[in-house]
Formats: sequence, C-alpha cells, structure tokens
Amino acid sequence: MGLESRGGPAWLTTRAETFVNWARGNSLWPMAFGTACCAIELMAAMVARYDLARFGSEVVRFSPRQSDLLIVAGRISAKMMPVLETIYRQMPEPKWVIAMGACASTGGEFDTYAVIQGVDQFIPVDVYVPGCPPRPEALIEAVMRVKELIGRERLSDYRAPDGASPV
Amino acid sequence: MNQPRADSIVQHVRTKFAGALRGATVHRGELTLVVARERVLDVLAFLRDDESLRFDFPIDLAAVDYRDHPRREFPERFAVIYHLLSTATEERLRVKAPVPEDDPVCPSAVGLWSLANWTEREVFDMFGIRFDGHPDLRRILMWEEFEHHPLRKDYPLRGLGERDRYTVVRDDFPQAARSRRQEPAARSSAERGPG
Repeated sequence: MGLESRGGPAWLTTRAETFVNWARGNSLWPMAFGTACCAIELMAAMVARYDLARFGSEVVRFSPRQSDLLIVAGRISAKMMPVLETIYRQMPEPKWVIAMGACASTGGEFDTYAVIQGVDQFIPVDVYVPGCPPRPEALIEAVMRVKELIGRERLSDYRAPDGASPV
Repeated sequence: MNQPRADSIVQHVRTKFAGALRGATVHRGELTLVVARERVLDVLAFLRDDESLRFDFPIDLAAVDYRDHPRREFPERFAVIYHLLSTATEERLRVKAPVPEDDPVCPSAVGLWSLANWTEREVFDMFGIRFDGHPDLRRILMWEEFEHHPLRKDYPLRGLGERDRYTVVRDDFPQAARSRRQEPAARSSAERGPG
C-alpha cells in the first residue's frame, strides 16, 4: 500500500510525534508516593499476579528525577504536602500524575484539620482512581488512561527554554 | 485488680501523700488515682519505687480536655493521664493530674522515665499543656508553624483553614511549560460543601 509494501517488514513509517508518544506510553517509570493502605494495592499491582510490567511500567523509581509518572497513593497531610510538592517539582518534564484512591483525590473520610482535601488543589492531576483502596485492576486501568493521554500529546505544546518550539 | 488490693494501694498512697491524693475510683477493676499536679512526680516516683507496688513501666502518657464533659470529677479543664504497668505484679494503674486552663503547666516526668519525652511533646502539641523541666518541648506531630492545639475541644475538627492555606505549586519549569495544561484551581473546603 504505502512505503511499507516496498521496504518489506523490516521498517515502517510514522510521524515523529506518534513514535515519541508510543515510546513514552510504553515505558512509564512510576514514582510511587505511598503514604497509606493504597500503597499496598500499588505493590500488588506491581508484583506477579497483576504485573504492571506487562505494560512497560515495571521500573518503580524512588528517585523522582528518574520517573515520569507520579502515583499519589494515600492520604496527604498538610505536613506531608511540602514533600509531595518537592518531589513533583523534581520530576523532569514531561510528567503525569495519578491520584490513587479516595484520600489522594478528595481527602476521603479524613475530613479533618490535618489532611489535604485532594492533592489536585496543589499539583495538577491527570487521572483519578476511585476506591478505598482501589483494586490493582483499577490502577492498571488508570495507567491505561495515562497512556491514552500520552497518545494525544502534541510536541508543539512544549517549549524550549528560549521559547522556541522543538518542532 | 480486686477491690481489697485496690483499697490497700489507695490506703498505702494516702498515708504517704495525705494532701496530694484528691480522689480514687475503681471501675471494672481499673484503679484510677487523682493527684494534685504539684505532687504528681513524687507520687509517680513512689509508685515506681515502692517495694509492694513497683509500677515501673509507663505504658502511656496522654491528656484529656474535659470541656463540656457531662460528669466532671474535678473543676480543672485538662488532666494529664499516666498509665502505669507493674512488670513485677502485672497490675495496671492510672494516675490523673488535673491541669487548669488558665495555667496549663504540669511537671515533666522525663526525669522518672525517658519514655515520657515524646509523649509529653505530643500532649504539648495536641493540648498546649507545657511540661516544666522538659528538655526539648517542641511540637512532634504538627508542623512548627501550626498555631493551635488541635485536640482541644474548642478547636474545630476541620481546622481553621490550615489545610487549604498551602502554597500552590506553579508549573513553571523553564524547559517545558505545557500550554494546554491548566493550573490547578485553588479551592477552599467551604466551596466544596460538607464532606
């Protein structure tokens, strides 16, 4: 049909944007920020039975500088929020954030003086996962949603330090 | 603890500290002594060191705000509460030291048990009761800039806006500002209605 039919199976053509998004979406390195019971389900999603590695997200980085997907798993107290902010700011662009569970998304049942009522008040959240705690399948679904978001990324939305577009 | 044993302990303490023992109750086998705060360290040291008592292990140190309490045992608003265990007899004992609202100070038990260090810091953090002679009386749970003492009954459960007053992150990394992504909207709990 196109160029592929002439070049054989060894190569094919695509757009740079699609290729970059395909590569990013299939090699997400999560930064696990587990502060409560959601972290247990997060661990369950990583290990053999649910095996998030099938979707390219097996390299859990506890260094924010090496990760591109922040998973906020658990309630965030007002005392913890500066830590979460620091970690979010340390992550290199492009980066995505999952608010896992009721507490990270809304404060959950902890409507008290100490607990942040949803981390989206202070850092941008891409995908919310309902549940208390969510099952591993729900977290995997959230990672799939992040991959969908990555698939819609436009390189022209990014700006170099001097303001120039990279494409 | 049966009643005769409780009575004998109360009698034993009363003969030693006649004026300091303000009350004693046994409820479901649990003995509670109410002791004036001025003498509470002496009483605790006696309970720890007396050969027939040996309440040597401070299980917990806490406080209670009795504001609006329907059945108050004493006029003071607060009480510092010591839970003691005897590793010799396996008996347990509770000691309450009432602390008035206008002078919320209690002598520190760190000299008796170093275990009291962090628990007294927690009581200070949560109730604002200061411990005289404590080596390092700082907040332990809330952050340093927090201004109130949240377990006091007149402090609202949802706080006074501290949880909403956090500085919003600006997505201002110079190398890549995403134009399509919106800033997170700062919103207060009041706008969101009751949780």
